[in-house]
Amino acid sequence: MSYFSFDDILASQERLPLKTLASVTGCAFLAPSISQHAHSDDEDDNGEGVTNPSSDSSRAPDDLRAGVKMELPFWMTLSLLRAKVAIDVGVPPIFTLERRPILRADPVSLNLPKVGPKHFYRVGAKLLRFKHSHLGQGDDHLGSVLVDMIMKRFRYILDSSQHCQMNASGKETDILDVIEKELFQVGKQSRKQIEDWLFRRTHKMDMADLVYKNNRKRKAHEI
Amino acid sequence: MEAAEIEFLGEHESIEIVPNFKEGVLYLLEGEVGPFRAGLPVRVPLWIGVHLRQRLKCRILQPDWMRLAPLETLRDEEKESQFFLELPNPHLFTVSQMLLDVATPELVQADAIKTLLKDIWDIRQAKLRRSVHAFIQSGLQHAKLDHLQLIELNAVRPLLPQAMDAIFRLEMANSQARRVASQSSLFNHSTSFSSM
Repeated sequence: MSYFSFDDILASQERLPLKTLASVTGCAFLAPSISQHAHSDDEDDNGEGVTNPSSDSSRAPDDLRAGVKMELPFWMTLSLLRAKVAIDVGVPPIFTLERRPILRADPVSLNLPKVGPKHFYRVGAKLLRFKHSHLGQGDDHLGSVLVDMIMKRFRYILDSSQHCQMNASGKETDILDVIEKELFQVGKQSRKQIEDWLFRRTHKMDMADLVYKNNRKRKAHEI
Repeated sequence: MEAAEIEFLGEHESIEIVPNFKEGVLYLLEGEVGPFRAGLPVRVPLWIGVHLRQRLKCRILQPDWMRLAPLETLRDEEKESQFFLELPNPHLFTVSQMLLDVATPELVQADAIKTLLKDIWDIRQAKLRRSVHAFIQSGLQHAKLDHLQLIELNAVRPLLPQAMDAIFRLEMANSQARRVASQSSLFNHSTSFSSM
């Protein structure tokens, strides 16, 4: 979404499940555990019918076989697709069409860090760049569902940030995504400002937050 | 914007004081103030009034709106009304806060007034929160709120634009994805990357 955002870069590390559709030349290093056993496993694989026999017979040792399932970071799948490598990219479980009802039913009670990736919205927005059967149609389309979710959850963020306990690191943020946590902090901050003003604390000069943190009493052995 | 800055803006409201000293006209950047005659009411900017009161050089006269009866009707009307009402002073909350700060002894029923003001503040904050929520739900780009005071707006100022930003980014990604999907429905069921 944004080039200079660290969170965005971190979100692009999210691993996506994928499956090779044809053997990929010189890419065995992507799945080291599979390539090591490749020669001894040849018989088994043919028996299961997972691999493509024709490509398998002419395969060089550093080629990635067809039909291998693995997980790669988002940014890598993106460049593989750009290079027209034949792979089938899936989505993290929570973004699949089967789980869409979970997202749509009651967004406010969802514990986002638990059900999905840490950067839920960012990963979701990145998935939109794939043309994908998992994205869904109409109201079920992942993009609309994400927008709908953050709109519905905003009420909770607004209310809880205005009413939470000031110094306790509350449970309120447990169910929030990274973006939502930022919003929560901002709301809490502005509420603190208003409260300070209401109780006439703005005129007092005080130590900076950083000084407070490092200003603990020294132990006897440190002196 | 910080609360202290908004308070600074509110300090330019004028109030009436009764000085207990004699002084000629003061020529200030924002205009002439005075002359001061002991015992005669004079109109001065709030910051001068507060400053003099802190040095016990004057008595502050309670503004008309800052009395029990008008504030009570204001509270009741505010409670009934769906929208924000126009308050008698554009900096009502900051001005009354400062007056209650320095001049509590000479204000009539200061405690009751303080409670009333807090009531009005709470009612309006609840309204503000409700309308912010309705605004976000509606998905519109802009809204107009009349008669909202700076200090009240400040309560939601950082949160609202940031939330709008997050939603807008998601919506952008969404509409872009849809546009690309509608252009080439042929590949809808195979995974392919749309270059944008």
